[in-house]
Amino acid sequence: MPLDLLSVKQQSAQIAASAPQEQQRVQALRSKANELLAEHADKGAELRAKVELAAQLDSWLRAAKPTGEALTARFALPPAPGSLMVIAADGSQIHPDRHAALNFYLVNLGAILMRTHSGQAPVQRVQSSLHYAEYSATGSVTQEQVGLERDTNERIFLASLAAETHDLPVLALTDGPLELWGSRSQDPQEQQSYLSALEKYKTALQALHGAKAITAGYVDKPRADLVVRALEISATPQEQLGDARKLRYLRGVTDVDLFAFLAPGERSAIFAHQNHLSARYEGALALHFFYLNVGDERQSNLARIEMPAWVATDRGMLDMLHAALVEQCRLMASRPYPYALHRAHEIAVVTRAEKDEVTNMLQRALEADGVHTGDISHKQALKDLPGRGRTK
Amino acid sequence: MSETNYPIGRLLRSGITGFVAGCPIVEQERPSFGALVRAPLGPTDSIYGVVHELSILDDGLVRQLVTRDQPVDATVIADNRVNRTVPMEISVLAVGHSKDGAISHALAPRAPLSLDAIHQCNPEEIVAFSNHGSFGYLRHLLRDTELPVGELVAAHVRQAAAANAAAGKPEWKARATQELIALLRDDYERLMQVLGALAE
Repeated sequence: MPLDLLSVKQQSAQIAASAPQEQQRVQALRSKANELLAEHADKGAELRAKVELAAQLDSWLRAAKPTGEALTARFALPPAPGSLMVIAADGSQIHPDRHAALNFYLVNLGAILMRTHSGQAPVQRVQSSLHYAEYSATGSVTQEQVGLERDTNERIFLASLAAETHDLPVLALTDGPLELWGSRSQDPQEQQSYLSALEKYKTALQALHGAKAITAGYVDKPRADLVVRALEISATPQEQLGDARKLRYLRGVTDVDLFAFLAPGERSAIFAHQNHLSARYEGALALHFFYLNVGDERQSNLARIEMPAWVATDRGMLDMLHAALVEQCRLMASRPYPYALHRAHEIAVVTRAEKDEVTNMLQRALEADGVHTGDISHKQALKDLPGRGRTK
Repeated sequence: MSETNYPIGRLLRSGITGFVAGCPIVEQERPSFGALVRAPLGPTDSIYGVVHELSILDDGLVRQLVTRDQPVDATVIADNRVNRTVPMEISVLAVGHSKDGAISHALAPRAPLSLDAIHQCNPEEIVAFSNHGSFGYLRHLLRDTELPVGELVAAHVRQAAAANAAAGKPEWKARATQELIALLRDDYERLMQVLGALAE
């Protein structure tokens, strides 16, 4: 059956009819949020203490913690950095597929090393890792576990590449948050796997610190409300702090709404992360972030930049990160996004054709060694029949 | 032009009447429009052709980069020319072949294969090919009405004449021009285009 477009059209009309009202509701909340931000602009220490108190009562609370900078502070674009080694890494994967003929997955890492302003062609690196007939503690390897391996190895890859550069300051970038996302499974073995990956990840971060690299995670089109959550906590009565996670006075408002005042090239104040894992990033590794307007006079464009404490507390590194990111984004003209990260993605991405090639290569190798490889599932075979336009 | 021949790319697609090679976009003089090139036909034989088009393909990123209202960064240019898999395409018109060392200006009996290395001919090869028979290969350059025939013939004749002059055959260009006049005697308009281009 094709899509019921008539029904979808009716639903679209209903959504559109109620959207202005919702927009008005959120707009009112934005105004309230901005008032709270202004009110607490110079009360960062007080707000931080309240967030920490709420976090003591509920360790799963996610929010921003102010640092020493005023909440409404705006920092102009520093002078253009000199030559830098910008290293960006990204990962891609072939997920395990229970309908496929072979039980395998692949993690592919791509990186680019750019000597900025050199005129030299950057160096590209690829690291592909094929896994066959492997199992996790609880059974088949899940997509989430592949993602964990990819993210961990991305950081390790980045650290190894940073260690190769000795003649220039290094800016080591990945796409997305700096925090390692992991399994929410309550299974002790799964949790142990995550913690083991986290240790490797932190070791890589420490190596980047040891190499004096400026490392950061770049979050494009951020939708988080971490600072908004802190403002909600500011408005929460002391006796209700234990329920702060559920008390969402400003639901619908995002941090981007709060920092819309940033002019092109400006960054916001720095905030620290508060969540149930943040305590695991101790000392120099503690996770921080700021918002950065990488857009221009025609179109503002806010990104969230996450960095460890050793960068957040070093004004020289911070300014270099700030200026280099704006420079990288401006290379991409009307689509501001760090050029090096886009190229790392291009290098890493595994196409459908490459997936088929890897599958055939592995199948031939196994069959040459007398291993029976089975067949795809009947369900998948039927989906693959010619003439089917739908993929799922 | 030095004494060696140069690999200039690898074959992307081919047919009896021509083929297309791809190579990374790099700042090099070779191959040039009108150059004589050859592709292997098995271990000993070759197919010869004349480069009639050099095209550089675009893609989404390149299109995005050119929208910038400031000069594109030199490192970004180098990245896109050297690293990115956007090749320069070299289109070649087949003009003859060799079998067991014997040159023929007839089209080859088969086409070269994907990823075969394409070489630009060195002066000795140009002299050998262009002096075989009676300029029979020039008819292939004249047959495609979609091509800028005048410019193509002139570019090729200039390069071949230089190789022949260096080899002690300065009269080659006059002989080639006479042959072109004979081939185009019934097509005054194209003859004027060719002679005009040769005179440039």
